[in-house]
Amino acid sequence: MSESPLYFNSQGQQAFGVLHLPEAERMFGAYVLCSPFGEEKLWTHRVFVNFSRELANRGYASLRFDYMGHGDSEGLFRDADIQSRLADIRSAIAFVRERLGDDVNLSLLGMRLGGTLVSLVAEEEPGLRGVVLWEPLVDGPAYMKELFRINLTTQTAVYREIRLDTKALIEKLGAGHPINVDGYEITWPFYEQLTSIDLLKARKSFPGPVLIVNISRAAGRINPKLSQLSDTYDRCLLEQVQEEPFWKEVKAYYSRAEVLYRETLKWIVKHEE
Amino acid sequence: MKNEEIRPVKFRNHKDLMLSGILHVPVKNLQNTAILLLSPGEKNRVAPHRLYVKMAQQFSSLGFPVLRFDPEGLGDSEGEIDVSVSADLYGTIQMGRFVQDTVSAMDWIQEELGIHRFILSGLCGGAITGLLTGAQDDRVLALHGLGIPVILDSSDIDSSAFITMGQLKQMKKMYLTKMFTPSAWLRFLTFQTDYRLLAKSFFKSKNEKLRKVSGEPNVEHEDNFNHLFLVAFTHMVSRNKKLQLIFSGSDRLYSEFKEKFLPRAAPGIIENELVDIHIVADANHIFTFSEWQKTMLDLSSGWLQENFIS
Repeated sequence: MSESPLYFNSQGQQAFGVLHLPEAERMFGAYVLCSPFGEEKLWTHRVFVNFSRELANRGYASLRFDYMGHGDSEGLFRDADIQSRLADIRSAIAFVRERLGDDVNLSLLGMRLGGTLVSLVAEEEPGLRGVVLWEPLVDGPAYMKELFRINLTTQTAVYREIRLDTKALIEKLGAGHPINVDGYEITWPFYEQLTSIDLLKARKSFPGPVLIVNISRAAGRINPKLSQLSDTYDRCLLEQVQEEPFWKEVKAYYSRAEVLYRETLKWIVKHEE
Repeated sequence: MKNEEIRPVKFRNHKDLMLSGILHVPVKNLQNTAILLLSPGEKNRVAPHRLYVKMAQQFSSLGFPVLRFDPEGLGDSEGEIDVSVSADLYGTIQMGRFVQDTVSAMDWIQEELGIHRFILSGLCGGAITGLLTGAQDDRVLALHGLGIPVILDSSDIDSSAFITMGQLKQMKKMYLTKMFTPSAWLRFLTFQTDYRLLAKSFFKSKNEKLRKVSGEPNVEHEDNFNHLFLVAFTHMVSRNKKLQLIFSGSDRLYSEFKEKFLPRAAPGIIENELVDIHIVADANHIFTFSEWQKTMLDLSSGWLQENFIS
C-alpha cells in the first residue's frame, strides 16, 4: 500500500490531495472521497484518512482532496462556491482516471455537503460505478440556516448580543461583503447557489448502485428527508448506523467510525461482485 | 510570480512512523531561522479555519521557511491516538505528547535545509508543545504562542471545579443578561441550567472579595495547573529565549494564565524584556473574525521582524 500527497490541477489552481493505493495486483476499484464543508471537514478528517486506509486494505484506491480554498489547496475560501466545488470533484475524477486508467472502476463517496455535491455530480458525470452518501444534506436553505446560526452564536458568545441578525447578514452578502462562519468567509454566490439546492425535487438519473447512510446517535426512525432522497434513486439502499455526529465537536475522540466503516465496506464489496 | 514554493513533505519520527507536512519556502529574503507551526490539538496542520495556512503565508512572506506538519496519529500522519475522550488527548498534549515529533521535525529541516535555528509557534496545544520542546532543545530560539493553556485537561477532572474568577465574572454577566429572556427561564425551570455553575458565578465572586480582605493567598493548593508549564516557562527565560504570547480577550485561557500561572511565577518574570504578551480584544479562542486574525498576524509579524530578521 502507498499514500502519496500530491497536487493536481483544478480550474488552473493546485488542488491538494492524497492518493491511497492498494497492492498493485489486487486493485478492485477506486473512490474519490468528498469532504464536508468548513470546520466539519477538519472534524471528519481522520475518519476519512482511516477509511481510505481500510479501502486500501481491501484492494481499493482512493483520493482524498481539498476543495479550492480549503485545507492545503490553493485559493481563498471566500472565492469558493458550490460550482467551484463541483468543478473540483470533476477535476479529482479526471485526475484519478488519468493516473489509474480510464477503465478504472470509479465511484464517489461524500459526507454532509460533500454528499450533496456527489449526488449532483453523479447526475452528469458518465461512467461512475457507484455512489456512497454519508449523512448527505438534502435541503440547501436548511443548511444555510445552520451556517447563519453559527455566525449568530459566535456574535452572542463574544458580544453578548446579536449585532447582525439573519436578515442583516443576508443584506450584507447581497451588498457584496462576505460573512464569517467559524472563521470561514462565505459570499453571495455561495449563498445563492447553496440555497437553490433541493435534492428531492427531481428523480435521479444515476443508473448505478447508491448507498445512503443516516448517522444517528441512537437507533430510531430514519431521517425522513433521507428516506425521500432514497426514493429518488432506482437502486438505492438506505442504512442507519449508530455513531456520534463526528462532523462537529463531540466529547469522544473520533478517529474511526467502526460501524459506519463496516456497513459501507459490506455494501462496497457486495456491489463489486 | 509566487512569493513561496510550497510542497508536501514526509519524514520519519523517532518511532519510525511517517509524518506528513507542508513546507513553505520563501523565494526571496530567505532567513536562516525556520518556523514550525505545531498542531493545535485534534485539528491537523491546517488548524481551525486554515489559520496555519494564513500564518505560514504571512511568515514566509517575511523570509522564514515554515513547516506545518501532522504529529503521530493526527491529520495524514501514521500512528493512532490511544484515547477515547478528546479531553484526554488535550491532557497528554499538555504533558508533552508531541514534543518528540517536534524534535523529529527540526531534525528533518536541519538535514533538508541546513537550518538549525527554530521558532516554534502554535495555537493552544501547539503553543504548549512549543514551550515544552523549546525548554529542552537548544536549537529553539523562541516561542510564538497563541492562547497557550496553563492547565491540564482530563476526562477524570471536573473542570467546573477549577473555574477561574475571570470565567465566573463572564458567566455572571451572561446570566444577568438572560434574566429577561423567557427561553432562559424555561431552561432554568426545566432543570436544563447548570445550577452549580450559576450559584458559583454569583457567590464565589463574593467569597473572593472576602478572601482579598482577609489577605488569604489566591492560589488553590490542589487545582488543575500544569506544573510543567511553570518549569518550562522559567527554563526558557533563564536560557534567554524569547516568548511572544498572544491571548484572546474572550478566551478562558487568558484568565487561567492570569489566575493560575502568574501567582506562581517568579517575581518580574513576565516583565522581563524577553517576554512579550498581548491580548486581542474581544477575540475568541480560535480568532474567528478576520479583524482578530489581522491584529494577531500584525503583532506576530512585528515581533518576528524586530527580533529575528537578519
